Amino acid sequence: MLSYIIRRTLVSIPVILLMAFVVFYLIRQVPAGPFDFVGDRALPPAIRENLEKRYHLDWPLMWQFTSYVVGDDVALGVCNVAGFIPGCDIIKETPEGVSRGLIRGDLGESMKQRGRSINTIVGNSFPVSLQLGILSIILGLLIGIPAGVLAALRQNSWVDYLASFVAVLGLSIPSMVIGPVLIVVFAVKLGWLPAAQWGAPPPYTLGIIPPLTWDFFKHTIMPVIALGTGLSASIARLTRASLLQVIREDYIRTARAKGLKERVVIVRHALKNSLIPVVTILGPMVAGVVTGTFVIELIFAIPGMGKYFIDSITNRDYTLITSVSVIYGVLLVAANMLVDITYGWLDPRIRLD
Amino acid sequence: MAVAQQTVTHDHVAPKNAKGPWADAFTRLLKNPAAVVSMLFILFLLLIAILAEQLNPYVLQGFSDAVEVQPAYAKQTLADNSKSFGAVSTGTTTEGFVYWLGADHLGRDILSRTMYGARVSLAVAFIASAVSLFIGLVYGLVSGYAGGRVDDLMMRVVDLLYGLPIIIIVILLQVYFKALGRQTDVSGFVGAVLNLNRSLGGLLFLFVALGALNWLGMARIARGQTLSYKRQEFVEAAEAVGATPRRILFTHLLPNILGPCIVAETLAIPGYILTEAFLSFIGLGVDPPTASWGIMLNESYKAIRSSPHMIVGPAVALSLTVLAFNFLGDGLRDVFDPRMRE
Repeated sequence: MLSYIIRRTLVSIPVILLMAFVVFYLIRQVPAGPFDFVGDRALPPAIRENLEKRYHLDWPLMWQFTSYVVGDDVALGVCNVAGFIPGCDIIKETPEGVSRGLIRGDLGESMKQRGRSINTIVGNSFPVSLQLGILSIILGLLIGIPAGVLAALRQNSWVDYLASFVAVLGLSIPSMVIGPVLIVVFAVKLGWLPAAQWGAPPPYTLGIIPPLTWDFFKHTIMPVIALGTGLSASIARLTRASLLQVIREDYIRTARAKGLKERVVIVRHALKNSLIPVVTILGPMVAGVVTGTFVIELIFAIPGMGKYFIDSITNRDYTLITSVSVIYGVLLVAANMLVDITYGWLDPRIRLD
Repeated sequence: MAVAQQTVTHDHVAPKNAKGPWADAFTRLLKNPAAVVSMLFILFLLLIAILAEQLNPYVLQGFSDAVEVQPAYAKQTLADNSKSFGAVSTGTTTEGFVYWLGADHLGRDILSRTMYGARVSLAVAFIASAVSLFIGLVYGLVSGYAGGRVDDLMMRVVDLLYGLPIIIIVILLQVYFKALGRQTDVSGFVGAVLNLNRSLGGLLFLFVALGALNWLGMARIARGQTLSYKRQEFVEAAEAVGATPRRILFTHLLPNILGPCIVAETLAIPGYILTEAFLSFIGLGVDPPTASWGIMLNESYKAIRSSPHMIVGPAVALSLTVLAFNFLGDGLRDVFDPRMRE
């Protein structure tokens, strides 16, 4: 198992780097750079040039990427030793290093919020997005699995039809509709819940666990419902379909024939196996939750990473865009790996080797 | 029974009165009321999208055209809507036309814009899914039929891309395309493409981005289907009489795997519509003033406190459309997947 995890991690590294490079390259191809404008005014050329030098935008692209990954000092060191490599003449002229490189855990310095490191920005905003995402997935599981099980056990009854219909409805109403509607009802009309912001500012316990106060939850309820509805709908549909298939298996008949209680048959024998497909979609679901957080964080003005990401795209904050993309990449790869491991644990027939 | 029928058609000794597999599938689809209602709704929407200009009296697609209906909200006392400038929940133009769903923050009729928005969503639904179906089918067919190392390599590429947050790449592609679209001084082929994209309100690049996002799943399905068919007798027979690989792929294998692939693609359509809405919502979809439900939702959430009426049109339209495609996809899956039938 350990060797499997290590190998998966090793394979993921080039994939993440490739993605980082694609993002790195694409965003630099977009016309209008980070230092072309301040608001609506064009920056004076001299200042612009200085800023571009400061962030090494005058370097050849491959060198910029190299120093983003391994650090400026390494790039400088290489050039001091082997100055004949193309681009080194420019690099040697910039003695000051900005980034210590991804491999040393430095995500770089923001180009728009000058002087702030991406690590600080991400450190403050990522836990917020993570809380939103995790709570939504938990809500999705809490509603989706029981609803799916209930629908499957009462197949073709009104419970089943109602649950299935509500599930399709939940799948079809996007969070960008649910969010504003919730705001109108519970924040504007009833005034029960706040319409925006996040209840608890960082830092958090262990970097992620928020204080479990009413102030936190009253800010969380609407965003989590808006994001979790769609998740619970797809989980419910999948649980139902999968449980229906499992219930018809021979080993369920065997379990019943042994005289086990129906509850035991369902919970201990059927449910565990029927959850395997549910676990598998949790991986891709993380990707959906990520896009979901973009929208939800905009609607509810939550200071999470998604909001920073969208803002940084309009701002052309190159480092922030690349680093946040890398984090999303790592998150997704990690989620998929976790899913595969859980998969093997739920179904011993699947060997991880 | 239906399973037996399928086997029969595969053996090409169908009884005289038997319908083809497609007609048969369609007949079975008609027995699903939700799918039928959905199909009718989608047809209705398609009609609205095509006839958007003819059906509504205001030509409110563009910003400048909105000037014509300004008297409508000018007549409203601003005291009623003190917080919102152009947005009114009801109103009449000087010509006596009624704003059924009110007007937005620029005084544009929301019903008209919702009707125009159907164009974008349906175009995305059909064209982006066709793009993804085409790329995925060809890729999966070739990969599955070639087998061996080629197959391995091609599938590794898919796996690799599958693990990435593709939506991020799509967002960046859209940023790139949008910035490119703003350049007006390009000539030649690229200039022509840019012009076409501009006249489509940025839709062309959206198709490319969405197609690039979604062909991976289709490629996997097409490959799996190809693998299950390529060892069957009819392929061997074709190989024996010396058919070229291209002929085997496209005249023998393709018709067999098309059904499940179309079903999978239909199930993916809600995703396309929602992704377009998402991209437009964050300002990276179609270009304003082109009406898109995503853009309208974005405009309405910003004004949600003062003008909550603005959300009704796009929200209902988007949800109903996605709902219809979901029901249709479910219906098609039930028809083509005999295991789903009880």
